[in-house]
Amino acid sequence: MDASRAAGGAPMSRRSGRGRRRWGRRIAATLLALALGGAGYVYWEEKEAAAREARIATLEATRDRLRERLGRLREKDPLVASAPEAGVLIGIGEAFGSQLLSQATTGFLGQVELVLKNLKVHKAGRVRVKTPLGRMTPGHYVLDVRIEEVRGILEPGPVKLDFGRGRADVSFPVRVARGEGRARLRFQWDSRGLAGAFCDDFTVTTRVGGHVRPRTYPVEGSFDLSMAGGTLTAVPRFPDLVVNLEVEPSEESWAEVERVLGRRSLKCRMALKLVDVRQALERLLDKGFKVRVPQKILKPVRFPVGLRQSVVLEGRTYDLAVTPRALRISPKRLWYGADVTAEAAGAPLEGAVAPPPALPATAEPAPVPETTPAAAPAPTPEATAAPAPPTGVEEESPAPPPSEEAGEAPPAEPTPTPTPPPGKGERY
Amino acid sequence: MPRSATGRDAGDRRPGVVSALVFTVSLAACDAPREPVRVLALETHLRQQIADLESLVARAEKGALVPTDGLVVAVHEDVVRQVAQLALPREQVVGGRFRVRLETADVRLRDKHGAIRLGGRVSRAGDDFFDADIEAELAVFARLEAVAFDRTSGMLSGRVMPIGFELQKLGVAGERPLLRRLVAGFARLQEHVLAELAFPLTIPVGFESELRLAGREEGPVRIRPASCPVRVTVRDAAAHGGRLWIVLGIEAGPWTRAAPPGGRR
Repeated sequence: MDASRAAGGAPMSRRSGRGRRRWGRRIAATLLALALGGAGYVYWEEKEAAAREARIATLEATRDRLRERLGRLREKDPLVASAPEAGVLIGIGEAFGSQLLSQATTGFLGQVELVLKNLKVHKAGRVRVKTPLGRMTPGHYVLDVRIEEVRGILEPGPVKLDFGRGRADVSFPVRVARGEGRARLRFQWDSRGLAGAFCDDFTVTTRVGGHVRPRTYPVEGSFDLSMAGGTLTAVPRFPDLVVNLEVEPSEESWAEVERVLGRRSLKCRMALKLVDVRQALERLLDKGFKVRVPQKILKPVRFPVGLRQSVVLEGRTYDLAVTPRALRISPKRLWYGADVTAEAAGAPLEGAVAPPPALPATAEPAPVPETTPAAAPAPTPEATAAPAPPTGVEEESPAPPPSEEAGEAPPAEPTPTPTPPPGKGERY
Repeated sequence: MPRSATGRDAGDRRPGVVSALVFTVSLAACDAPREPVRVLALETHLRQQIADLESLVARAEKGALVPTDGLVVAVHEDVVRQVAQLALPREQVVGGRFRVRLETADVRLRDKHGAIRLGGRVSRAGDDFFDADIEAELAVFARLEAVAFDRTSGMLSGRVMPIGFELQKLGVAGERPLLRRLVAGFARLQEHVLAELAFPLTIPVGFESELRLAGREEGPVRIRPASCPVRVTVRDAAAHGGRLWIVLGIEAGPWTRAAPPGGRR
């Protein structure tokens, strides 16, 4: 039993002991590997962290150097240096500002139409001729022209604009580009003396039409620049623009006049040649009709960019206090700005612009002409400077000055002679 | 963007797997850390800052830091801070598990995109009373991005975009194991989850969408109602010198006849 135990037990014990030692070695090796791995990992981590720290330190140093360099360059930048202190600044380049003001001005004037109604011009004269018996007066004539309506369209040209000292000086041409007019013409002949035997007294009326002669007018003025409610406003300072509408009868109209007068007898036509109705009418119309475009129809132009007195964040509206701060005009740029504070919601700071109840939904109009009629331009036919009458014709009465007050469309006065229906020019 | 004094950056990647794993292992092995834990791709961020600064320096050397023409809007960093502060406090659940409350904003406009630091707290979301009081102070680092013209409001807008965060004052309140879980979980947040904290910013500069001319149909000087559209585009936006400089393109015109009198103002 003992022998067998000894014989069989010793190998088992040796095997068991070797197995334990083997396991022990494996565990030890594993632990050693883990320890080495852990140590290696920690070492690698430390090394990596140190390398990362070094990289970051280098990057930070590079960044700081670039910041300093940028700071120095900023100080030298004339545009940055010209910017005044304000919470929010808006800078407008000269060319851009010119373009914007030009667009506003020309856009505005391009929509202007001059309309004159019921203007009357009058010319009367005595026809005198030399005869072997001496000077004779075959008759008197009266030429009345009633302009029923004349329209002229303005077309502004390119704008020259210079910024300086709180304002922008502006000059540009305005052209009366096109237009048309229509008038009723009345010619009255009153024979005198022996002439009455050849030609009866008569009155003819006819309608004439024509176009407005294009003419260009220089305009010079300025815009005063100021800040209002966080927005730059350009207030126009221009003299009134006096435009002369000159109507040129069409060839069809002249043909109609000739036709109407041509219906008279031969002797009458000979007498009328002394008057030269066409020339008399041309001289009347050549003087034109003055229209005064008052400067006050040009309204302040608000630049389409400005500070807002509220902001909307994720559907909620927050009021801001906007205190206009700066307006600086440098040679290249116009700066305006304001301080903005959000703390004063609903109760603006002293001197601040009161915030509106909500964000404006749509843009306000920039150039706003007044909606009520402005004081009127004056149609002023220049009758006093009438040219010398044609040979054989003496001026008797110059055209009377217009009775209308500037800009008011005069009421239609009853014509002395009943007017014929259209197409029937001749009354007698 | 300055690192914390203790400088315990959790890796140099955006809040990602490795950094979060390392951080979690460290938390599991030790107690909850008492030092701030920052999860920010600092190296990447610095490289971006340098690239931005280099582009600004190159422009400045050409004398084109601010264009000589066109329209420029410059907003001081204090105004940006105030407007950002208007959107605060804001509380939202991110990643479905964490309630983040942001309360303060600090803005520095130096390096093209600027740096915004939002201060607040983070806690577990949900209705567990035991977790409810466990919170850590949080600083979210963000940049100002996507400056654009918002046609709806007619104003300039931007977006505060988080790029990293820092958990502060750990272990001073609440149960440490719970705090450890909170910090470890929040540190594992992925970048796109952090982006949930982004919010819009409105710059109080507005633009008209059109110029309008009211008509006048009486008298010898008549004006036809007309309008002129104004188109606004943001050409460039860069922060430097404590201001956000926005370069805009504005095109106006042409003038066209407006609606008949009944439709005008």
